[in-house]
Amino acid sequence: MASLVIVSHSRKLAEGLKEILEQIAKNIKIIAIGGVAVGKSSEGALGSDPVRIKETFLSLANEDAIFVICDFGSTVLAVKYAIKMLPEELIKKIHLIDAPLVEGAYAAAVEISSGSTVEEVIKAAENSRNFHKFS
Amino acid sequence: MITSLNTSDIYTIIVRVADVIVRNKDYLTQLDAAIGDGDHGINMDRGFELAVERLKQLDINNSDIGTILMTVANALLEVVGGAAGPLYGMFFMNMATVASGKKEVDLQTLTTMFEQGLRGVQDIGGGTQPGEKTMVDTLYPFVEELKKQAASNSNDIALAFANALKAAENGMIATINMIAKKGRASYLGPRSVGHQDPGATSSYLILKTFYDYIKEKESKG
Repeated sequence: MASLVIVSHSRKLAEGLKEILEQIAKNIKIIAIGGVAVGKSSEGALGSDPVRIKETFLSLANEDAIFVICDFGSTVLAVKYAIKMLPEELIKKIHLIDAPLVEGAYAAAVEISSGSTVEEVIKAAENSRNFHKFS
Repeated sequence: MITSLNTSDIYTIIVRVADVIVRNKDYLTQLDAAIGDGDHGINMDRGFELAVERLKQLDINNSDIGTILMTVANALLEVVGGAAGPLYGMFFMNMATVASGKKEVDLQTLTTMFEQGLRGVQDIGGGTQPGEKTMVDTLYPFVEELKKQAASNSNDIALAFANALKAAENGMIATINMIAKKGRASYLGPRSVGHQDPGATSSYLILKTFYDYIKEKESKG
């Protein structure tokens, strides 16, 4: 199976997006990662947690494919760092989606849950940047 | 003349970096608030506070320089939260790799450490070059000057760092007139001009702490 990992600066944003995606892609595993732990607070702060991202990837080692989409800035760097630290065979399973977060994740979730190929998922997700809302 | 730094020197420098960061926490955050998300000082302080806490648990006499720097890298990666986490994480991790197993480093090794650290920053940042209003604008000229110094004067660390720090400072100041090409500041486009880059500034503060310590050690003879 394939899974989709959402990485955002905000836990609420990542979890909110996961909630939306689960309405239309009930059969795939969606993981939301958001924010960074601060001290002992469970709420955390806005930011990215490269170590947690790495551990999440390691926990998905049995998946056939892992699609990753992130918001911007430090989450992109955190994802890149996390991938550097993974074993070769796991890196091969990871596919980065270079697209706007909400639209890209939605398109990817639709394709993954329909059993599309890796190329089809990436293409649909990245084409979402051309999706017009008011024209 | 200082010709090498040992584990205890590097440990003390990191403890001092943490102190410099906490004293400049508001300044870095203000710089970041102007063109970014306004958390650079807070994030860096959180990272170095944890780094020092972890270093204090190490047995310094039985540790090598690589271990010290790897401890710093891991702490920054775990809690910084912003782009500075992976960037400085890779910086210190690459330095640690060069210094792995070494309890003493000379100018040549220090130069390679900083060169590899810079490479890690450029790499994780997506091939960042000087002129893009980032920490690379401080680190790149620093490394270039250090390489030049290492090739010409061979072993005087204080002299090499004095010259390299000057180049780093010029690089940091030059970010004021640059248009940001990376990170959140790039969304501002030309509106980012007129502000010194917070990452370039924290990099300068770290390098300056190295130099200040070396200078102090030299004056003590």
